[in-house]
Amino acid sequence: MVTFTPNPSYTMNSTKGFIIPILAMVIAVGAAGYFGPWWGPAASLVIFNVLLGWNSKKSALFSGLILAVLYLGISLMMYTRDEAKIIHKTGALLGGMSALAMALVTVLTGAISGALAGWTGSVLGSMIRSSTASVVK
Amino acid sequence: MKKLILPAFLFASWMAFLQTDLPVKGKNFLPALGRFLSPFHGIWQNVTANPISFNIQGHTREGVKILFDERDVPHIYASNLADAMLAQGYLHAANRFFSMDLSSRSAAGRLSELFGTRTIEIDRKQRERGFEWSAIEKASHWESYPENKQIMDAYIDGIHLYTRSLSYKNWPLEYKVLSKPPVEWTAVHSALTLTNMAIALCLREDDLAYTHAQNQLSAEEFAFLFPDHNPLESPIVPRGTIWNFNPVYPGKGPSVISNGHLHPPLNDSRHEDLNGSNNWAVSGGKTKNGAPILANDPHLGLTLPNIWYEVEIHTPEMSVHGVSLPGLPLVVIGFNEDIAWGSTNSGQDVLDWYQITWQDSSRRQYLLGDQYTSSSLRPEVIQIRGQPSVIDTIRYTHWGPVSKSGPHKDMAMKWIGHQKATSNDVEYLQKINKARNLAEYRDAVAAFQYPAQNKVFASREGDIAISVAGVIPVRPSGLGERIADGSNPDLDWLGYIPIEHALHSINPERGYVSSANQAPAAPDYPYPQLGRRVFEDFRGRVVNQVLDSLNDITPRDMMALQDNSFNLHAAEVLPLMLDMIQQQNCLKEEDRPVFNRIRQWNFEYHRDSVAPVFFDLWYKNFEALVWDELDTLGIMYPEEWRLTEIVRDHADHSFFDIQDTRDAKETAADIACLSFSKMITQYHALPSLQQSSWGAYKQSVIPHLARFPLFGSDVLHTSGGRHIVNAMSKSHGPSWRMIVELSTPVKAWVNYPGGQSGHPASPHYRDMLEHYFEGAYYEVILRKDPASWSPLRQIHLTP
Repeated sequence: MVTFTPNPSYTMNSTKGFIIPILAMVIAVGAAGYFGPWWGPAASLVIFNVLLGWNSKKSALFSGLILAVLYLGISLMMYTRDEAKIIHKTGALLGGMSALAMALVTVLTGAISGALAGWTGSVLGSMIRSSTASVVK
Repeated sequence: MKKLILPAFLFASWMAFLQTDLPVKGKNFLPALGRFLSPFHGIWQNVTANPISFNIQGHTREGVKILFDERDVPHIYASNLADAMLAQGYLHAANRFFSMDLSSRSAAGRLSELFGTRTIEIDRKQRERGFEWSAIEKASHWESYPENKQIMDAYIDGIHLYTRSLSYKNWPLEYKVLSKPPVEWTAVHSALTLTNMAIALCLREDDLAYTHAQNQLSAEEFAFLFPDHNPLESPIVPRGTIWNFNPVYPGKGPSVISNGHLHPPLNDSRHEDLNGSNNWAVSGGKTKNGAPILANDPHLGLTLPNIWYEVEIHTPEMSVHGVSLPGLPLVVIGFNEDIAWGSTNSGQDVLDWYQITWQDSSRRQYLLGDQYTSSSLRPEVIQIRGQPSVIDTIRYTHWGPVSKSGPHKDMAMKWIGHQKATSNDVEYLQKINKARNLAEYRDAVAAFQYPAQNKVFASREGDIAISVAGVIPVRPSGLGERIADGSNPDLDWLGYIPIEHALHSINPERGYVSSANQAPAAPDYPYPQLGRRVFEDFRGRVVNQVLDSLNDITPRDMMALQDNSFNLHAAEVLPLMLDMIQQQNCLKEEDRPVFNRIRQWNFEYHRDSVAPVFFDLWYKNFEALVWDELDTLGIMYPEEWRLTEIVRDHADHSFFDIQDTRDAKETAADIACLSFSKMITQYHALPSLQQSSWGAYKQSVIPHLARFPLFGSDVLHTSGGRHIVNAMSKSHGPSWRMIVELSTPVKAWVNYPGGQSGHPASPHYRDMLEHYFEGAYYEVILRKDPASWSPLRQIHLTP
């Protein structure tokens, strides 16, 4: 009988190799959002994905997720502080959206921006790498 | 490279989309979603506006402390006036910048830069009337008063201190929704703030309506419907005052009127929203503790945030508390350690229209005297959001700017706000804020320009006074209530009423002074009084009756008078209408309960009472049926006191005959029956909630300043209404209530509908609103020593 025994060091390494860049991206995107312009998070995701060398699907998926989750988290945090129902009122003013709809549109905006940034960064990164490799040859 | 094209194109397009304001249905805009929805920068950052303490360094000459009390009213402690003004400018901007911006844009005709095509007609009208042009002149005039320029400069520096610290993240909510940055404030914007107030208070346009009425009616009919004076009026300066002077301008001139080719006015010119204001001061001889008491409640259009910002300012030369007008420095209505002062609108007619005769269709040269004169041209570029700008050229004549369209087409306006000032507005504010006694109050009032106001005064020394302040033109006879012939140079204003002849009353025998926008003096005053028809006299008569009857007055009595909801108009006309119903025997049995309810009514417009609903509907129907001839001719209605007189003394007059019933000749009694029946039908057609009470029927709402739905108040059930001391209508009413007892120390009780903050998320956005409509007041005593009390927060400005 053949039994499968996972290699603990391999799992740990691959998890580290995944979580660390994700965490770094979250921090960088958060910092870019807080200190930079509104497009700072998307720009930082492009740069990160150029450097990471992930494939396009992975880049788009995780970049979209990171920005969506970050937007969702901050939106929820602000929503809980919204005693004057500013989001609800603003949503109503801009076409009858509820606070939930405002949050969803916000998250969607983040997800699309992140995904497109990730995809662009990934393709740009692979182009840079391939051109660098051809120069080295 | 090819692989990059698609994602890069999609990414760039998406980001460009997020960066762009989106037009909706051609007129509205969605703000650019990228920054607007960014949780780091956008609207999510506007959900909290909790006031905090902080320090600002490097802008003042000496240190300034700003301590905030429990209502977030700032108490400014400064070592010099300039520093205090810088702090006030900062506070105005931090709390009301969008209000300031909107107010100045509204006067200048620059709303379309924010709102697009929706406001283009408003802007066009404002440009045609030259308000921005005159504000530029005014701001430049301020420059010639070095001391006051210093104050204005410091105030504007304070505004900049706030606005220049703003990034998109902390823009006020309204700017984010409109996706436009706050404007860079200048002295012209401050001048426009004043202009906007003047537009609200002294831009009557009844000349056209009166000319039209005179053209349509016989001289006898006009005199019958529109007599000059109400015999029952109770003027501001008491009857019997001896005028020991001759007018400097005899007031005689040629007959002045152009009757030809006039368009009828578009609307009934009754000023439904102009409920007026009240102020009074009672002498120590009439009060319980021997100290004079002053009260003031100026009535204006109510918005959230409120037009006023409450403030207390301490400098070595003054300690003053009251309301300020964001956009201008100092306190507009308030009190200091020695005196209190307040204002009501005088309603003086300070606007005349002149029909222009152009030489030809180029409208360059116009007839003035016996020759053609060139008009000067001022190009106006109206920038419209999302659309190409509209370029217009406004023609300025000897009289003033000429309207290009509407009922005033080819008429020039001569308005007090466009005339060269003889003093400056900051000088008046400075003097009244620092005044210590009657003489200094009189000196301040002499510096006041416009809009003409009834300035009430009381001092700790025991004096009370009221003055009709502001420059008031003297005209050739007949000018002022009709359109004038603009080719006749003799029809110009002759001058202004000299300050020594201006109306005032000081320590009158009756023990009080008061005003409620009524006629300032009896007809024997040597100068013609125009502008009486803006406001009727009912509130003034009630105030004077109550003050006549009271002795041992306390501040609580004054609160009750400000909240007085007795309708004298109803008390005078309703018994006549009820009698006519009984005489005609036209009451249906099923309508008797309503009739009885009205008959038992005490004429109080209390929010829980239903009788005012019946009266309101009944009277409106009655009036419309009586004046059906005037409606047909497009003529304004006579004043309501006059209709009461006509019903009482001329019940068979031909005006009561309904035009549509050719075979019958109705009398006042017939109309009373018919309108009662209509009232019953209309009442039952109302939604059931509105049938329940006056407050539910009236549905008062205080809207957001830019009419953003949900950012205003909910529907409020309020007492009071038109012709009532508590003049709360749907969205117009007492904008500030103040009662000051000139004891030692001076004590005051104040309130206003709204809150100190202009930020909707702030707990102080509307925290005083409910208290206000419950009739509550907050007690105020000047807090001279900053160490003597514990502020809720503070801002320190250090050198």
